[in-house]
Amino acid sequence: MRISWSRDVTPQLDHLRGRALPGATVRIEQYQSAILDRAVRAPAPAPGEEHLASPVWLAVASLRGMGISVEELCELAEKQTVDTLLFGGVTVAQVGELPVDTEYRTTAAITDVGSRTTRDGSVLDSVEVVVRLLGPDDTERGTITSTYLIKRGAR
Amino acid sequence: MTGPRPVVGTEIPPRTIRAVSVADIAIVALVLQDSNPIHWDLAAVQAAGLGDREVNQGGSTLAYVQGVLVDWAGSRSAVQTLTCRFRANVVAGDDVDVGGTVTGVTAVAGGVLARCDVWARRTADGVEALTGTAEVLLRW
Repeated sequence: MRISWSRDVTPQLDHLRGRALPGATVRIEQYQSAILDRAVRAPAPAPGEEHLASPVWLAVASLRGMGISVEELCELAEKQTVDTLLFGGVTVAQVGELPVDTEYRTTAAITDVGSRTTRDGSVLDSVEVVVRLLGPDDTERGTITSTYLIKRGAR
Repeated sequence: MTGPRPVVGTEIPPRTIRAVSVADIAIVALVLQDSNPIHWDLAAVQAAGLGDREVNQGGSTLAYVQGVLVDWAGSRSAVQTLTCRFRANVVAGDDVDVGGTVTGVTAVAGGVLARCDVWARRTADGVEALTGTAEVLLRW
């Protein structure tokens, strides 16, 4: 028997909109920056920028800076084993340099949630998380807006 | 930046990432603190129906695009915004072509702000793994 999916039993996520997440600190060590540069094939820094980390660290901050794990975010979104987590998209805005050997602070929040029915009839819930990366002087260095998608399975 | 000023239609110098490696995927998982086993456990990859090779992180594909833009602009702080959608997986062993095209140019103090379409495609089949837009500050 095919189990039909009913919107009536899907999680309602509206209460998550605006929820603050713990945030975290993210320290960019020089050696970690160098190793990550190799792993993501980042170009060598331009002369005079040897002390700066690649902007990929903003993507790192989007995950480490939430202050909760992706698994914990999924729990908040009531993801079950029949559901599939997808990474929908990201907007990275850099507003300042990212020196290495520096500790950054993040703030994070769930800024939006949504739900839509796809063409194949399945329900796709979305959770938008914004992480702001602040330097030691509390100036903003970047903002990362990530959209996590949860494709709901049959219940 | 010392090259010619970009105009609408200027192609950003493309780049091919050769042979995404299992070791690189594992390093990125460690740095991201990404516990998803599809990045390092072939049994998990197969159980998820994702084939038989480790799945590269979307963040790495994003970084390949950032790298092309940074290389073009000559500064690690030049990419002011980058908005991407992840459309297909890249897996261990894949080559990835990365590039972009200028879609708009605005004069700003000390240079121009170039708006660009960007993309990353699997070399073998041309499938787009990532598409997006960027704003890049080019200084002269």
